Amino acid sequence: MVAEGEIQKHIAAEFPEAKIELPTANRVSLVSPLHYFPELAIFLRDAEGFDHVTSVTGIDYPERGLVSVTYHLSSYSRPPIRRIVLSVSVDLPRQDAKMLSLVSVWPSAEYHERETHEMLGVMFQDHPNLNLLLLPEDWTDLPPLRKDFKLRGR
Amino acid sequence: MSEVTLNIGPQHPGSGHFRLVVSVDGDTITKATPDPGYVHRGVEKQAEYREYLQNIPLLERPVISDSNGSVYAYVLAVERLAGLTVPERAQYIRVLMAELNRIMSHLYWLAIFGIFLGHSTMFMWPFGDREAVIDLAQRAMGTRLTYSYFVPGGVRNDLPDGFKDQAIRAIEFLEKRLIEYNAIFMKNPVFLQRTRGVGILRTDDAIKLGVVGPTLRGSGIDADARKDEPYDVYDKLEFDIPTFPNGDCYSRSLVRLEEIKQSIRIVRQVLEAMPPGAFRARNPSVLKPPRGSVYTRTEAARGTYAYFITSKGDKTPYRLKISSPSFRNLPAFEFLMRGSHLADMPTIYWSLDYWPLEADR
Repeated sequence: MVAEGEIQKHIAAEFPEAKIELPTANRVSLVSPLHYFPELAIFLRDAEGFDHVTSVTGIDYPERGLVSVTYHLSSYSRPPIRRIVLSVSVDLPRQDAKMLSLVSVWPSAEYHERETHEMLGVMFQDHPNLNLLLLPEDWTDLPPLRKDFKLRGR
Repeated sequence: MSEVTLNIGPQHPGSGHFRLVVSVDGDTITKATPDPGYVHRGVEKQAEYREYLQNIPLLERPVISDSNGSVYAYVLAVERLAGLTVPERAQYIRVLMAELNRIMSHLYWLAIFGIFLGHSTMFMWPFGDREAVIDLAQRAMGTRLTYSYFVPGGVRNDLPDGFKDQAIRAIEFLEKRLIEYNAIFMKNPVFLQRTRGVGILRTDDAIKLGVVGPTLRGSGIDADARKDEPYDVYDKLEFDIPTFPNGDCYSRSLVRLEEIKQSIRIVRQVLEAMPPGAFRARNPSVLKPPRGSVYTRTEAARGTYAYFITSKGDKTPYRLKISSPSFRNLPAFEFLMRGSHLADMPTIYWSLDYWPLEADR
């Protein structure tokens, strides 16, 4: 847990408003206000060595009026922290879910952000290509992973 | 010469429904855009409507060549969420089955790679030899490919009598065959010509694109979830993570061949060390894990397979996210094909071991 504690300390010193938890072994979870981006992302990449995105996830919370977007980060170039998965979450308003794309920081985020865009209706500003990825090109319905999109017959 | 745009797919450019939009100038690829989604079935959405146990058959369907590998992380995630313990014997059985599945998946890859390169013997041999492992799987788990064998708290049933002997016979047979594969295919001058120096992914590009699995290890990075974050009994077993530095199609092929050998090594150790005891802990069949989120990852045949599950205390997951290796390897298509010859497209395509259903979910 040494490395996790170190990472926690470094982030807390640079970004005091971010909430950091160590939920289980090898996991660091971070809830950040939106205004820390992209500086926080660049810090995690350059100072802490989290060089790639393993997934970008959105979770819809209609009763709280939020879509929470989570980036899971890991490292290849720093072997001692390969066991760690760091998650950075941002809460976005459900009606106007938009944030800065982090593709310029982590090119590996490109397809993940595209998927989150079409599945949860999150707008990633400055993304190089936000066209539909998995959905049919004539899709006009709600983003399917929003909670108000219901499966028929279920 | 003017550019021509070609649609490769969506009908089976080799493995499944997936389209590659390729722009060529002469026979040089100037741009390649992957277009997945033809087999998207909304697995993540469907999972929100099913109980934790009911999700297992659903979640293994996208990757039938490696179905244990694809639900392994899910089962671990549910165990962690619900605080279940797993008997030691069950942990050994899971590692055993996951490794057998990896062998099966790599043999499948080798067969298709053979036919992609016009080597029909290499198509027939691994496909036939794979049956030895499939027979084993069928005896232990009941079906050929879709097992639904891993469950939270252990496995569905115990190993049948005489399984160890049959398993040893099968892996001894495979070891002999691997030598023959090496002689007829891996050392074949045509194979060497068509894979060496083709589709080079350098180490820093592999990190930048965030690729996983043999694609990553073929670029010289020894990252593997089984070593980086050992789960079940992987920390008690001896095995190596094969890496090759060149990052070309040849390196990626060697990684998979070496991984078959390492899996055989693991299978041997597991069969020797298999402890007696329960194969499954007694748990309620309808699980209601407490509120919380968990992110688990395992090393499936194609790379790191991860689940991010959020529970709200209901009997179904509130949100289930799959991070699959094929999806994470998608950016490599664009990157590797740009500037290469059109004739090398199939080689690069299959050297990534891309499985459309796994990417689309």
